[in-house]
Amino acid sequence: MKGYQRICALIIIIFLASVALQSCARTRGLQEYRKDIFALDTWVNIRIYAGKEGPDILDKAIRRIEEIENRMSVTIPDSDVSRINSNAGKQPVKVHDDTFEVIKKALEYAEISNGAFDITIYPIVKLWGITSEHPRVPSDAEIRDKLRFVDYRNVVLDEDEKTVYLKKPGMGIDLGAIAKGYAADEVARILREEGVVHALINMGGNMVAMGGKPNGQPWRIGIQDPRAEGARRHIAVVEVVDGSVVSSGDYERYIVDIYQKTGKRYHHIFDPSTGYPANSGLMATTVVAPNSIDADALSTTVFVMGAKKGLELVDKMEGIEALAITFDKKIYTSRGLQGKLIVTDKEYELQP
Amino acid sequence: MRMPIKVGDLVVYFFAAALIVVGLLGMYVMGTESSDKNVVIEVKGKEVYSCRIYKDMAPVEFRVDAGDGQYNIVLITYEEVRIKEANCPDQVCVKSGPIRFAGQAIVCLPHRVVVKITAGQGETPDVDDIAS
Repeated sequence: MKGYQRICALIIIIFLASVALQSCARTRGLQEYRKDIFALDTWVNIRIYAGKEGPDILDKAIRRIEEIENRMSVTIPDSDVSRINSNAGKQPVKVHDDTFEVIKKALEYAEISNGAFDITIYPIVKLWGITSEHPRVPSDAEIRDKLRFVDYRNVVLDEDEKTVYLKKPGMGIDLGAIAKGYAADEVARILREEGVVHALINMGGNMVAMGGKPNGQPWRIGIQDPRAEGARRHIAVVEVVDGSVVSSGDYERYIVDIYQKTGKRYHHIFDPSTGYPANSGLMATTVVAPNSIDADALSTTVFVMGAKKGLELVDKMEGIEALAITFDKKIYTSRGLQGKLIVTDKEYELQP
Repeated sequence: MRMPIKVGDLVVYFFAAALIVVGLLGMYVMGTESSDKNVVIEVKGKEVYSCRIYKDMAPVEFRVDAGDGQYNIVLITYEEVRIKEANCPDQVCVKSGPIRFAGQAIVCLPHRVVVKITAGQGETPDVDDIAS
């Protein structure tokens, strides 16, 4: 019965081939797992592709975020940061290695930006209270008074003892412009250690792409429309494999002055040289970098410095790209981003 | 010794070839058929409504009941999705305007309502997420 055998063989071959094709399409047994939590004062969403151990890996990542929050939050009374602030002008405070690392990085960015990025802005942040329940527009005198305490050069680090000391009483630090980036990098590190290859981390708008998508394509990250109010709507797209994309802007947290009826928008990113919300002609900035801590710190830095100076700074840095969106809806980019940014909203005009 | 081609063999080869063609065609059709987008509406994290958006569909007006008399009226057309009206205090969701692409969303924080566009099965979303 030779014909019969051949038929059998063929059917088996077709069957095996289709099974092989199927499993390719289903990305080798990987499944998508997602987790949403509220932490670090923002929404956190983690999406990973993993086997059955997926939920455990996510839990581990979440625990690390909570650990970072407990150490670096300025509103948690016994955090490292709160202890540093309450001991300002009194004594150095011993902190965890991660807190030390983040503060050290923050001071590096203060140095290279000539103080445009400055974590000692906290007395000003507190005075305005933009993110608090009772925000207000303070007087010039009040701002000048608090500005005396803003100077990153008065933060003293002791590398051996892992201590941080603020020289003047009344000083304070706020890691809000850098801690989310650090936390996102830490999540990525944990995922990598657990063998995850494809993941997308959203730490309150700070994006980290790990690998590409399971189907081999790059992750497509949208750039937020700075005037979309409550909508998550993009005006442009960047494609990323292994990297972080972070945006900062006047749209994130702001108050509108209704008391003096000026209708002026006061947002949460302060210029350390004036004590007022940064007014450099920008609505938003986005930084693309290998590590989220750099993207996070630099998105604030570029926002404060403005399009020209900010993008010049980024152009000097290896592997880091940025864009800046002006009030007249023009998008300026660093050199390396030209040709890579896909503008999807016709109202916005990419500048050469 | 050369074997003559048998009729039975030919039938089997033809059958196999036909099977492959039909399979590929099926994959292609399935792939394009489901390439539409979906609208998903959530209240307090729970899905309360979802629908497919496709060319030539009739516009949908969905009233989201967020509890305690709170509501958001969502207008869904093939071109765009927006919140037409709501009785939330800040009106941010109404002012935020329309969304059009998979991966985008409108959020009404006071009512904890999320209206999002997701990609259809097997389709690439316009964006995977948004850096905001």
